[in-house]
Amino acid sequence: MKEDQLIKAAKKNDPKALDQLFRDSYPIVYGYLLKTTLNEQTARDLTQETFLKALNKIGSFKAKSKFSTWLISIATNLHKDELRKRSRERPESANPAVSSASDVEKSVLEREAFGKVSEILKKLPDAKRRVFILKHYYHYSYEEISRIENCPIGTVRSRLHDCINKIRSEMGVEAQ
Amino acid sequence: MNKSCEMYQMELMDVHYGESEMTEELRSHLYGCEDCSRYWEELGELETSMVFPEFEDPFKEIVLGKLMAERENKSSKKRNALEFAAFILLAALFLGSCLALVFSGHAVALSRIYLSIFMVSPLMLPFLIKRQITKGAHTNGRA
Repeated sequence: MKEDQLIKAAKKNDPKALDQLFRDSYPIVYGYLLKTTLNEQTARDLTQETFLKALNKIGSFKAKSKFSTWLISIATNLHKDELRKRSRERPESANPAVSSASDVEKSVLEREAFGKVSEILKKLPDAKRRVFILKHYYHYSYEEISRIENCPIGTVRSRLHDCINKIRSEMGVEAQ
Repeated sequence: MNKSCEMYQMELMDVHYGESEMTEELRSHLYGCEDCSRYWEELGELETSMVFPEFEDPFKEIVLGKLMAERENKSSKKRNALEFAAFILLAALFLGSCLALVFSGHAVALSRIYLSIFMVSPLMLPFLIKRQITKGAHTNGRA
């Protein structure tokens, strides 16, 4: 069944269609949140929250964008909320969602060469990291990112440019 | 690095990510500028150096199972609410019609109907018990 047909059926509360939609989108949402939070447990919790929100609001999905883009927008807002909540709880921590790494996280996030990439991503500020991830790994257009992040296209470009410069300098430091 | 190089590099970034086409002006600047040429080269290298493999979440089935349970819970709550509303409506209709019968002078007839219901309903008990047992056996069979 095609995505639009699945969405129509899911809106009519068809459990099979809903299960199929969630199953197809799960790797995208989880992968995005894993890269964004760099913490497996937080990524999993936020993925669950994202789908829960999608479950409750699927009736309002207008299908102007892809279903996965809609989910990414929800996930982004939840990540922002999580950061706000954690910074209220622990204001001394500059980047709490990243710094509170668990042992479970280390099992995946510190595997060989991949550990180097996560180390570099960790050094990027949250909002900029999200823009870089959306562009570099998920190939969203500037316009789509500006809608997801709720900021002007110019901000998206400058955040991406800043990230690239930061990554270049980090790579340069490591090469030396 | 001067201001124009920063602008050129942002344009190179747009080209690299497929947001715009390479212009002649940009190309000629790229050939003449060492900084921008290195920037362009390093942009290409990001494709191989910043690879982040996609991981399958080992807890995916559990998370999806919870979500489906939540959906089931939500729809059963909705069903219960609808059933409750229907019950309230029917009860109100029944009481309303009883009151209407009493006020229109049919109180004696109404009490006779009630009395016969009270007399007959215990006779239904074996059928109700049998139905409950059959229903229970069905549920256990599915489980």
